[in-house]
Amino acid sequence: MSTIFQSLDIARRALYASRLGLDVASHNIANVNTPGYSRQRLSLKSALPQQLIQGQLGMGVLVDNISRVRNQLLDFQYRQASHSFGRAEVEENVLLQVETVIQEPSESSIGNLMNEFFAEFSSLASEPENTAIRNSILQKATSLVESFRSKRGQLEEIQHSLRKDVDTVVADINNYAQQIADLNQKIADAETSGGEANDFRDQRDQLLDKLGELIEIRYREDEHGNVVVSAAGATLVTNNTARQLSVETDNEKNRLRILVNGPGGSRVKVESGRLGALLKMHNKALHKLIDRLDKLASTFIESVNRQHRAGQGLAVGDPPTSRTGLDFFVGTDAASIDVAPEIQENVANIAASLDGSPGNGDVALAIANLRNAKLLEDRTQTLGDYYNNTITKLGRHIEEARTTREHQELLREQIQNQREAESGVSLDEEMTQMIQFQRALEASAKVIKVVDEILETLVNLV
Amino acid sequence: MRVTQNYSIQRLLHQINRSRERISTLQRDLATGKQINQISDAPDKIETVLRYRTMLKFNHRFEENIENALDFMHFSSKTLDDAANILATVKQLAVQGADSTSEDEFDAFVKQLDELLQEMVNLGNSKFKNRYIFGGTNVVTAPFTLAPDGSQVIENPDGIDGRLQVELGQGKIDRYNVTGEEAFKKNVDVFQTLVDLRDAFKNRDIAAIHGLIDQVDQAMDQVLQSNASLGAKINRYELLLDQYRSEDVRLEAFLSSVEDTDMPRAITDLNKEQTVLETALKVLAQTVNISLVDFIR
Repeated sequence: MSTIFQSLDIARRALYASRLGLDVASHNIANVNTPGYSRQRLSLKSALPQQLIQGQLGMGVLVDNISRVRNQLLDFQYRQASHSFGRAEVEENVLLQVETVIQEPSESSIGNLMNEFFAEFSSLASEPENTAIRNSILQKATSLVESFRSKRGQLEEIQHSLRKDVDTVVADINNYAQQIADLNQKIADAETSGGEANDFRDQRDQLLDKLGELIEIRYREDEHGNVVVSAAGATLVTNNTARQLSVETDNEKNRLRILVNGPGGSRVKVESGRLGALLKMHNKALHKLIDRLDKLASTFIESVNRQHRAGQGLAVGDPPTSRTGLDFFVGTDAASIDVAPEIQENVANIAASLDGSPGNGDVALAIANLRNAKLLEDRTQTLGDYYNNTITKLGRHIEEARTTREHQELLREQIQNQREAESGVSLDEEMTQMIQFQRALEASAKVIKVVDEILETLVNLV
Repeated sequence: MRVTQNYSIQRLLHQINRSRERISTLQRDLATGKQINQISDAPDKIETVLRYRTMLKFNHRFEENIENALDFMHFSSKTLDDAANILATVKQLAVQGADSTSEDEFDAFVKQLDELLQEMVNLGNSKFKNRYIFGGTNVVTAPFTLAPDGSQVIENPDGIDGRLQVELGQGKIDRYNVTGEEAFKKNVDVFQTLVDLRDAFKNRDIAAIHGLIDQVDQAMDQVLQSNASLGAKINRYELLLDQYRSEDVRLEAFLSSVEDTDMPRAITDLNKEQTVLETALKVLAQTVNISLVDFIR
């Protein structure tokens, strides 16, 4: 037998459900621009019916749960694209910085200045006693050594700033890992009392997105709702604890390494994500580039000096004497290269002549022709070849990084769009929901009013 | 498909961003006139650009080398012409003088020959841009000195036969000077011939004068021959210079086709891109904010 008060109960539950529906809609609207937010849905179910002799009597509505609309597969794909994107973007950015240093093609590039140096010696060969040409050689040589030194210095600066970037990224990773561990705790606490901790989960997912761009991660959710995160073969987060990464510097080789769990911990090999790219750029690409620059400079210094020592300068002074056996350059690499002080003091000391007569330009010719000598890579490449090779390699590397970056960016964008399509808040939809629940609420209120009137009629009967 | 406001905004923003990126590239290409401003603009072409630039640079250097050598050679050739003219005068004098009878005439010839000798030595010591052209590689020392008593011409003991060399092209090294040795000393000693002739006139030695006429001819031959081979070389250098210049035109045309901006196309692209950007911005401004909120009261 159903009572009139049951009708009130049904209406009350309906009121409650509609109000909750309005709350969920307004929560969604409030978070329309919140990054990482997934829209939430109120699921309703009909209440357990009452068995009457005539059949089942519905007992109104019950709130089943409030859940977020989220596709785990899209999250996974997003994070996959993310670490590749992070790696390629960092590589591209660093290489673009390198490219600005190399300044090719331009008048002030090392390649061009080296050509000018040789061309000036070609000119000196036909007029070896010409002081104007000698001065011009000194000037070109000075520009060249300055260019060598400054470019190498700038490359080292980039490397130095990469080291700082690595520190920042590692700090971010540690921070995110810790936050994820904290959220694990909060989610576990919240979910023991049933339901889903939607907003905490959103936050955790967003942290996983961020973490996934910095380093390639693997993750899974255990049965208590904790995510277990591992990266580079080591577990980062389990339950409510996070292990910290730290940076170790191999000062001797100027290499950076990543350790798990503080100093003395195990070394891990990070290959992807922003961190992987930063390490690769710092430990490999820039080292290689600097090495090549040094190799170019040292070969250049040695070969020019070898020819130059054999020659004689112009005879100057009283009695006129010419100097021989002098080096043109001093230094051993791109950082220490300089024009020898004797040459800087007096351009007459530039040795152009083999036999000492002022019009003999044999040595100048020999120096000019060093540009055609295969001096590098097992005597297969000229100085110019070696330099151009370096540039071409850099170009190819940039191209590769850019293509990957563009590809992964597009991919990630598409996935993000899909995620937005699935989990994003649509104002139209929420407004419709609001109208729906508002009307339902009004209707339920009406039911209460009707029941109340019935009750009043009944009471007045007495 | 479900389309939310944020979804539309994100897509439009990406679109606008890409559009702006392309516009900025086009603006730079148009402003610099080059589409290859840095390595990343065309990693596949950069090597070609560098190689052609190097080729052009050295072509220019070779052209300059050749031009300088040509100046020097033209001057040398002119000087050798003058020397041949002097020798022609000397021969005329010798032929005339061989028939002389009066003492006064002899004295006049001796005086003239002394002057011509001095002139010849001066020619031998000609300087171009402050370099002795017939001194071999000893370009700062006068190659010939007339002894104060006029009895002989002494040459620079350091040598007058050194080769002045010029780099004409990759691996092409050539001598561009006529040495004092070749022009004045090799087979016939031009100066000694003049000295001997003058002395013969001084000694009124008709037989010796007759004997020396032949030698003057030979001396002239030697100078003319030096000049002729120099002339041939000048022609060769000028031809080479022409070749380099036409090669420059080709190289420059090629470089320009690779690295210069195709202006009409860049401008058309820019216009197109601007239209795209304007449209995207308008769409963003007009449609994104429309939602159901606007229609319910």
